[in-house]
Formats: sequence, C-alpha cells, structure tokens
Amino acid sequence: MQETFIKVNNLCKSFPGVKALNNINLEIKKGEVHVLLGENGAGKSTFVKILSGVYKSDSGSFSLDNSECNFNSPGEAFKNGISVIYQETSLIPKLTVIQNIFLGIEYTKKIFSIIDNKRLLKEYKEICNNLGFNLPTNKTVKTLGIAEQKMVEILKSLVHKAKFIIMDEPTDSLSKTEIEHLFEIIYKLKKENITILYITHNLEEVFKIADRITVFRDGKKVNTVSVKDIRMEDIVNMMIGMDLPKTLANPSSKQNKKEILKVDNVNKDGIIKNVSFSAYCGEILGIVGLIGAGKTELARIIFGSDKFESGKIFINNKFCNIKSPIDAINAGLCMVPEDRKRDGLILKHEVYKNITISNLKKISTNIVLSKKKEIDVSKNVVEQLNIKISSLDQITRELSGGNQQKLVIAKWLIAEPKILILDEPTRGIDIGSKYEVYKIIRELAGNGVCIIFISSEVPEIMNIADRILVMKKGEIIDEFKRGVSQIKVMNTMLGV
Amino acid sequence: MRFKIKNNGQKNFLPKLKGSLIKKYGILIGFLFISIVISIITPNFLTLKNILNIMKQSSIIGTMAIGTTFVIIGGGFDISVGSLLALTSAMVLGLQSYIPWYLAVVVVLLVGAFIGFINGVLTAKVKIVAIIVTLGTMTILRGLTYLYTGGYPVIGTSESFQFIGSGVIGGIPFPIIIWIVMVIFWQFMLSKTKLGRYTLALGGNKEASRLSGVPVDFYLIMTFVIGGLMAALSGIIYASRINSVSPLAGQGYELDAIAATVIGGTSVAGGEGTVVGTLVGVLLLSVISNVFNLLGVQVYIQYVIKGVTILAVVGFDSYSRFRR
Repeated sequence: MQETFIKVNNLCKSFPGVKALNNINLEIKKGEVHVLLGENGAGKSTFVKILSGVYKSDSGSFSLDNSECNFNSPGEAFKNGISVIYQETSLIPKLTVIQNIFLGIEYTKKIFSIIDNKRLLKEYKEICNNLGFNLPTNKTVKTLGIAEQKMVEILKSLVHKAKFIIMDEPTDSLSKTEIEHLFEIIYKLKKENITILYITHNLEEVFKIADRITVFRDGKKVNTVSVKDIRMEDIVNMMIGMDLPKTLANPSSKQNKKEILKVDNVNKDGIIKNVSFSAYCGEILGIVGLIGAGKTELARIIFGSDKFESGKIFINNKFCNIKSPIDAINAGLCMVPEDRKRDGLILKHEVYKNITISNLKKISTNIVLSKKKEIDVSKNVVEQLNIKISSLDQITRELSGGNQQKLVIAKWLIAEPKILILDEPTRGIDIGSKYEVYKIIRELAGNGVCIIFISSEVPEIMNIADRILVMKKGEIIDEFKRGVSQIKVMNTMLGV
Repeated sequence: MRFKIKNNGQKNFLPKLKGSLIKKYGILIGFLFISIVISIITPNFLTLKNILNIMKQSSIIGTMAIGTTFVIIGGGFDISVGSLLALTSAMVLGLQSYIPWYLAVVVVLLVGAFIGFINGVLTAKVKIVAIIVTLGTMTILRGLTYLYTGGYPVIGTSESFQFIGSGVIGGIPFPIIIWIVMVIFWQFMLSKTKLGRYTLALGGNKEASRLSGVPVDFYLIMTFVIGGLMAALSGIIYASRINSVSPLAGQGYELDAIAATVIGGTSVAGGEGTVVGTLVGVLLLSVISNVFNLLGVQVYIQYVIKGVTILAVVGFDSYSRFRR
C-alpha cells in the first residue's frame, strides 16, 4: 500500500507512579485516517503529546517522513507539519477568521512590516476552494459555531503546511450534522494526501472514517488492525480486555411514586419556555435533546446557578426559593455540571480536597477540619466508586477523564443528595468508565435518590432512564416511558 | 492499607515523592542554604543580636504579608495595604490625644478591616478587577493620610503604646512575638478551618467552588478583610516602633509583601500557598538586605539584587512547573 509516514519505535514515557506508555511501536501510512482507541488512562493523550512536542519521551523515538523527530516544543512540531486539533478550540476568539488562520505567518510588505491582506485573502481563497469550504472571512471566531471553529482550525493547520493532523476527540461538542460535515472535511483532507490520526471514544465514528485502527490499553499497544477486518465487539474487547455485559441492570424496582421535585412553569428569556415536570424518588428521569435545546440551562436554573424569570420549584411538596447553589444543596439538590474541568473540579488541588468541599461539616470537629475524618470519608467514597488514584494527595489534574467525572460524583455523594442532576456525565469518558457511571447512578436510584440524567445521546438515555423527557428549543415537547423505540425518541427530538 | 485499585499496582495511599518534597520545601531549603553560606562569609551574621534584629525589622512587612497571602490565595490582589499602613499608623498615634491607646488600637484595627471590606465588596460584588480596585483605594488612602496629618509627621503621646513596637519579653522583641503568633494563628486558619479551605478553593476555581456550594463572594470579601486587618496591625507596630509617622510611611511596602508572598510559594494565580511559606519569603528578603548592609554594599545595588532574587526564585518555580 502507501508508504510509511510516521514510524514510532519503542516509545516509553513514565510519570511518577505510572508507566503511561510502554514500548509503543506504530506505523502510520501516508494519507490514511488512523484511529487511535483506548480507555481513558490508556495512554492516548500522552502519545499525542509526545508526537506534538508537549512531552518528551523517556526512551524510544519516532520519525516523520523518514527523518528523526526530536521536538522541544509544540511550536517546533507545528513548524514541522504536525498539527493537533484539540477538543477545546485553541483559536483566539476576538480575532477574525483570517487573522486566526494566518497567525504566526502574516505576510508583510517590505516597508514597516504592514500586513499584506490581499495576499492573505488570495491564499485563503485558494485553500478554501480546494476543500470546498465557505467561511465568512471577517467575522470574529467567537461568533462562529463550534463546527465552524473546527474548520478554522483545520484551515489554520493547512495554511501552516500541516502534513499530519491529529484530531483529539473532535466530535465531542458537535451536533450530528456538524459531525457529518467534519467527516466530509476529513475525506477531502485524505484526498489531499494528508495523514490523520483520529482519537475518539465513539466507536460508530470509527467505522465511518477509519482506514486502520490502533488500540491502546494500559500504556501498551494491543493491536493495529484494518477496519475492514473487524467487528465492533472485537474492538470493545480489545479496549477493555474483557466482554461487556450486553445490557444494563433492570430499572430500579424500588421506585415509589413519591414526588420529590416539581418544576412549575419555568421561563427564562426565550431559552427556557414554560417548562413543567415532576420527578420521583428512586427514579432516573432522562432529559434528552439536541445541543442548544436548553437542557443545560434548565439544569443550571433548577440548581440555582443561573437566574430565571418566572416559575416555581417545589421540593418535597414545599415551595423552594432557590437563589444560589447553596440553597439548592441545602434542599438536597445537587448537580454534576456539564464541563467537569471548568465547573466541577479544582484541578490544581488534591483529590481529597475536591471530594470534601461540598460538605466540610462532615469532616469537622467544632470548627476545625479533621484530617483523619477527611481521609476516612474520602477513602470510603473513592473505594465505593472505584476511582483510580495513586494517593488521596494526587493532584486532580493528573487523573483521567473518567476518574475526574467519578470524583465530581463522589463530591456529591458526600453531600448526601435527595435529587442529583447529572449533565452529560459520560461525555468524553471511556466505555469502561461509562458503564461504571451508569452502575453508580443505578445504585443511587436504588437507594431512593431521584436522578435527573441529561444527555444528547439517545441510546444512552434509552439505556439508563426510567422515563424520558424530550426537550427542543427550550421546551419539553414529549414524554416517554422506558421501552419506547429509539427511532421514536430520535424523531421527536429532531422534529421529524 | 487494604484498598482496591484496579489495573495499577499501587496500593499505597501516601507515597511522598522526592519531587513534591523539593517543590514543597524548596524555598525553605534555599533559605537555609543561603543562610549557611552567609554565616560563613560574614561572621557578624550568625549572632543572636543580628538575627533578632533581622526578625524585628521583618515583623512589619511580615505581619502585612500574612494578609497579602490570604488575598492572593483567594485569587485577589491588594496593593492598597502600604497606604493603609500609613493611614492606620498615623491614626493610632493621632487618636491617642483623645482616647486611650488601646482604644485607638481597636479603632484602627476596625478601620483596617473596614477598608478591606470595601476592597472586597468592590471586587466581589461590583466586579472590578482587584488590582484596579486597590489601585483606587491605595490612592484614596494616601490622600486621606495627607488630609489627616496635614502633611506633617504625627507624634504619639502614650508611652505604654510604645511597648508594642519596642518592648521585649524574655529577651525577644515584642513585634517578633506578635508576628510569629499571627503566622501560627493564620496558618492554622488556612489549613484547618473552613475559612482557609474555602479561600483555597475560591482561588483554585471560583466557578467550581460556587457550584459546590461555597459562598464565594463572602469568602472573597473575607480575604480582603484579613488583608486590611493585617495591614492595620502592621501599621500599629510601625507607629509604635518609631512613635512618629510621616504621611509618606509605608510606600512600597505592599510590593515587598507581595514579593515575599510569591517567593514563599503562593501561586499568583491563586489557590495555592501557605502563611509559613510567606514567613520564609519575608526572612529571605530581609537576610539578603541584611547581608549587604553588613558587607557595606550600596543601598542602590540592593534594590537591583532584590529584584533579581524575586525573579530568580519565582522564575525557577514557575519554569519547573511549566516543564512538568
């Protein structure tokens, strides 16, 4: 087939206490879409960071187009044609599309280094035409949608002569149409003979775009296979090293029909319109909808972190004037926010501090925090949720996504909630952790906690929820019981 | 320790790594190292008299820097404390003509806390950036000090009051005792109480703290109140020590306090730091200037050296962090 473009030899990298990469050998061929799969903590991110010059490997080497690479910084890798597109965009929001794309290689006229806008525009148009892009050039990036921002990033890589583009879970924050658009772009890039390393958790995507797949597990390469010769179940087995249970546990039978939460006619300037619903003890209420349907906004309103215009919230049949998260927590209502890194955790703090922050009373004697109680309480919940950490003193930033998510849940277990809202709790975490999160949620519901599970993934909601509310454009448009067909929910959600 | 962790063989919950030890005690080790070197090259350095002298000189900035530490850990910044020292020290002397000195002390502490409260409210509620808020109050406070003093030095009338700055208990100057007691007290508050934990959380990630049920505005204001309180206390020590305060007092002290805090390992980004670290930071700066005094180095050069020290210590720290 094609020639080898990237060749990785015996790459190793260790962090204190963890062997992140163990003797990785890998070949990526020119012009292929190579998908890298693995659970969180399998070493994918470390691998990417070494290729892109963020980390240095302990031993081993890699070469690009037969020349040995030894990058000291991401900038150096970028100059050598390796470009990374991360989950979060790395563009400058206040600059225009063109300014972002040509950042770093502004062509200047000879006098006074005036920027040669004409030349920029000409080159931009050429590249756009090649790829069939059509982006407004003079809009600032912050006014663009996330998919368009991803396009800008891809264009930026191309302008900078990228030969190898690494995409780190690029579809995580994209809607379905946006994802398809991205895939079209990937096909086009492939035609331009650009090599792509694509990292994802979503197995369905793999079959749409991949040429070959490499699976990592626990810092080692399990195998590299061609996508034609493999079934999805085989990939899952490779990733987790065992068979998954086919279905989740049955819905909690303990559901008693005791209403615990009632949301009555809540409105917020056009984002949330006349939303009313009830939720019961021991039930898992799923709220599903496209991105932008107002799910997150609704959750934030109920939790008191955003203000709203009109409407009432009742907890245990009592009117509850929730004006801040503190009020909500005091009423027994907790929320796992959508963006765990930004809103859920203090990344620079130790694990135990993140766990106990929600309920310092529990670990205090009089007003003094007791280290012993704190360690006991944290250890307990870490054990309960099977959070993988090297010590309770470990810095939260170092944990993998799945473990960080479990940590946010652990925090709320300490606060002993009666109602727990989880906003996209499985976003960006690996399959193994996903199932563990489902299991935890099931157990909580089994203990009588009312769970509100928000997600934009229909299959997930179908699997976990006892009852499903569908949101669209700020309204609840339908309600389904468990066992409804996936197509029906999908159609309602999309408005077909 | 029985503990189930899948897939990675570590079962130990408290592995203290060498790297983190150096990170944690790096400043202290550096400080001790410098002290040893200095005591070898300058024989006058390691005498009890000289050491007490260094500490006595450090006590004013040291007390002030405790407050600065809280403010910076909480994610704020306070450059008004130098001017606050001027106002409070002038007031504590001036008020002695009307009320007993101990009442004057109480009034001045309240003034400090109140100014801190204003700084806090402007930052937390009005949402002005902290450095701009305190730039404003810094200017106002300096103006108030001129208005209060009329531009002339204020002289104290109470002799008992002078004990605070000049008294000695068991051979140890009283300002040192105040300073050390304050360091112990506030370090305890920082690491062992809700106030401290919430301050750290707030500086570490304000939004996550808010969504975890931390009353973030209240604790942000509290850090500034502590900043004001400690500045007032340092003003009291200052006034009592020389018993005469000019309206120019305390200029640049806020910068020394910030420098010491940062050298002591407090992250300028907030969320990390210790009061004890700041103590070491203050001592480090004092020791350096003391040595240059002993060696007879020109004062002007001392400024340069001080600046380089700050950049070297903090630069080393943040560079090693970045490289990780």
